Amino acid sequence: MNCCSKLGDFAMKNKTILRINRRALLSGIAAIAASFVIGSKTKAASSRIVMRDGWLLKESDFQ
Amino acid sequence: MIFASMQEYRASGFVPQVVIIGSGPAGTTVARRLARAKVPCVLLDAGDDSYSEASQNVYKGKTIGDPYFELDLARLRYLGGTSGHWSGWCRFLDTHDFEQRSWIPDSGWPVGRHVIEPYFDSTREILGLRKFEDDTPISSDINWIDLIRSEPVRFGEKYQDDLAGSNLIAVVLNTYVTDLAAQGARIRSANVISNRQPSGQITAPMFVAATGGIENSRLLLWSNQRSADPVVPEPKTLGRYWMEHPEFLGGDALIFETDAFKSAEDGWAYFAPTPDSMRDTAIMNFHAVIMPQPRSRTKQLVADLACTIPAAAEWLAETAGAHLNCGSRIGMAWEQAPVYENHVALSSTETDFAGIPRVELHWRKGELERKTLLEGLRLFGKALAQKDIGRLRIDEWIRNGGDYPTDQQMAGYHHMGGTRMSDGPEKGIVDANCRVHGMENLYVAGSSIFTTSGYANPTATIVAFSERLGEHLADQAA
Repeated sequence: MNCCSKLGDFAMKNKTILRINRRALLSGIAAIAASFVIGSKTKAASSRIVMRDGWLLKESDFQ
Repeated sequence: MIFASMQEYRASGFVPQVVIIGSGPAGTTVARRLARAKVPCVLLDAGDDSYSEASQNVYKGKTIGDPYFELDLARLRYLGGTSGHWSGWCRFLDTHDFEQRSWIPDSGWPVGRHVIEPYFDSTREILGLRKFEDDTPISSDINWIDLIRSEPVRFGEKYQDDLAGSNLIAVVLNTYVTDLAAQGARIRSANVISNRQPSGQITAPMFVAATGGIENSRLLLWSNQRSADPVVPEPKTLGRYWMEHPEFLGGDALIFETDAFKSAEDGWAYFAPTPDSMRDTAIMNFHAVIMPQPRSRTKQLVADLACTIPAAAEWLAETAGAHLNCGSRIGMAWEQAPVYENHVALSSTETDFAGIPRVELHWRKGELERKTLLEGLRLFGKALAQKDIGRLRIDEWIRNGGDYPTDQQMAGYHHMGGTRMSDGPEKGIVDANCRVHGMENLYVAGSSIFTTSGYANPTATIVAFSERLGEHLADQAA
């Protein structure tokens, strides 16, 4: 039994409005570059990568 | 013209310049290219214009080594050949696939990719492909790649009318070339059985073996036993360096940017290592594919990751929850090292209806394949994390050195090597023009000529090389 199953429930319910497909508005490299920017909002850009329980994670994920 | 037997064909009085054995993507492409150059050729197929159990039975064989598909299920023996169950994925081999790589013994083709690039446009036309997008870096180690899942071309269906209407191509069905006969450095004739009856010989100035990535080896091995003069004068590597593309699921991932890289055709996303990263980690080429999973799978993955990093629970809930279908499985398909011990042999006990030895395939994956799988997933997972595209978890059996699963795809149904291209006969069977070393008029077409395998599904590269061979033969015939 997974110890954190409630978190999965929370994650699924937390967002009820589907994200607008930004990809449809962009193309090629511009879209990929945009995805980096969007993604980097959540975590710092540079961090050492470690493996834990098979997951490849940034050290900053643990902070 | 299409004939149902050698008897009908002989009655036509057709005089070919080239005998092509096998009507799959390679043989049909060579024939059509020759016809465009006004060179008459005969295209022989052992099967009829549709599937039959009786024809297919000849493809039964035995595999020794790693678990593999039944050999009669892994290819097709009728007009159009194995294109009849092709799934349609397409990509040309990469430029770096042709290069010698010091960490992969016996790598390096005698030609570069530039020799087939002039045929990419015609190949795309034959296969009905759009133009490939350029590779796009997502990190210093990993590129997004364009692997097209096309509508698969069944060569027998698509080109049957074209073949039937040609006065320069004579297709002869139900006609099994059992062996080639050499005289000195030339093939003199091919011995044939048509509609299960011995039907004499067929001859022409040039011959092309295009019977598939297993049968080309079988035909030449048997011919070498039968012919008074050798058909392959220096056969040390005949049947050797046989390769497949191992294919296994490699892990799970939460992909936060779910739409950024999706293929237009199938909604999956494909990635491959850069040449520098392969060199730095001493691994072979591979592709990783992100395959989105149902929402229930996402939920489980979010929970699993939260177990590993409880401190990130809030961030995870916010990020993963924003993308309700971000849970994905990661598929891996990769290059197999060219190894002398992996080979096609003739059975010493089993024969087909004509008394020809059946195939015995000796095939194992080695340490380099294993390393490529693990290190490749590490590279890919690292790139996803570094760029905050997602987080990847490598499956336990891969991390812990467990056995390969037997309930997965296992391989790509891609039969490569056996008559590989090489500078000289020490390391291969055909030269840079696909001509058998030491022979003046015997050529080989298809993926059996591949020196190394890359990760790309082979059909596009097969067709490009066949276009090139057709042009070369036309020049020879002129």
